[in-house]
Amino acid sequence: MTIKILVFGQISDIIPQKEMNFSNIKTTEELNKELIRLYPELAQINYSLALNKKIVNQAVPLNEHDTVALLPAFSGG
Amino acid sequence: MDHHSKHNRYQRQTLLKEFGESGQEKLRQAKVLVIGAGGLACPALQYLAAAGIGYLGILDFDVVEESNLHRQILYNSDDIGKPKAEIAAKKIKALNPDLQTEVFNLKINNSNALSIIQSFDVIIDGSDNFSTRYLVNDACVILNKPLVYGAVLRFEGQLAVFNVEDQETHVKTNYRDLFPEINLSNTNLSCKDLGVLGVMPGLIGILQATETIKLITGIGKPLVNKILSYNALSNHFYDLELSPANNTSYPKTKEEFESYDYELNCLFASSFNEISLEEFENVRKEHNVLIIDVREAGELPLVKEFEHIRLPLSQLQEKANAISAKDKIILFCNSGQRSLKAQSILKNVFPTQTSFSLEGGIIAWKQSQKILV
Repeated sequence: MTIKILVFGQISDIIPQKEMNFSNIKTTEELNKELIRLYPELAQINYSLALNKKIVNQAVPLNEHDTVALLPAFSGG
Repeated sequence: MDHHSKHNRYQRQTLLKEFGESGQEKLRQAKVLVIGAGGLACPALQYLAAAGIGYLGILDFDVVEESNLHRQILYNSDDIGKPKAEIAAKKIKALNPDLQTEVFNLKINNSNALSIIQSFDVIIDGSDNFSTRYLVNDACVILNKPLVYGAVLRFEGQLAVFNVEDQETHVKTNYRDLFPEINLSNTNLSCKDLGVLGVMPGLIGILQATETIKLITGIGKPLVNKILSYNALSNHFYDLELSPANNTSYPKTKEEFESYDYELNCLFASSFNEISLEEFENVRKEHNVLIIDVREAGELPLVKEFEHIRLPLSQLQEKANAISAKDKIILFCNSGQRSLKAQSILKNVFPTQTSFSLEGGIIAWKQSQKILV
């Protein structure tokens, strides 16, 4: 499955912003786990995951060509 | 100020048909509290004062530092060392003499937050740390106050209007629906660690002032149930929809709020996993904390003031598995250097275990306790 990954803040140091191919991934939760497996440093960051511009709070099914955004928490002011 | 002068001052905005004299009167009657008087707050305060907000609260316990001046544009070089909230109030009052200001030269915490926030109509979060952000968010949820959120890092900014109901769907969301909580073992670094371009808090602070004016006057569509992300390098604005996360793990009542430890639950997320001497004093007496001396056998000074175990750095890698899980582990050596190394070893062995290195080491701690070394 091809998913477009958008990254923000310090996550852009860890994951390249691009379309990525995944096999055996059906939900946002599985995708998140796979990203952490591929990029272990991601586990060190607090972030939210959005599917097609909606922040998801639980596992949501993914479809071909979905866009997933990873938005980190930052506190600067 | 006489009527003619007032008319003159605001003429360019009362001319706007959506705004008019009634919009101006709404601003005059509004009370806005700005939490923090830093990079986000400076332009927000200036524009809100200039626009004719009647009453502005400014809360900050800090003083102006030289490293603030590239982005905190209310302050001059002459202001270094002076309290931010007082200086900010003085400058915006000079800008608009009709303005009433209230200075809170203090640190907001769970015992003063509700009484301070209570009397304001709109709250602007211009703070610079997670513990304050969660504390202010939760207080606004409990008191049902609109919260205009902004945060910046490097070349990016975030903006949202929390705790305001969508007029059609009646849904409202807050910071906890975006980031339910901060995981203690994670390291989301701050501007101090990662830097920020001076204009970033300026841009986001002005957007916060804009959303505040929209909320008060009722014009346009405020950024409700959305978070807007702006990247200055690519010029991309990206907004994401928020929905209630039904998170139950945070304080929902005054009583829960006042007994929740925001410092402990969020503070360390923005530091390099070090614990200051002052924080250590609060944390070390908790029951589920394990303190480990990582110095080698025979090193002085002896530590008899609190319970701890000994596990020298040279043996930490092989013996780490013998450590039983605790809420927090605090490591110390003499200066705070080896314990920092020990902390990174421990983090590799137990990625989910929260651990801290005592900043300055046991010698600094003993000095702070006036114990002769």
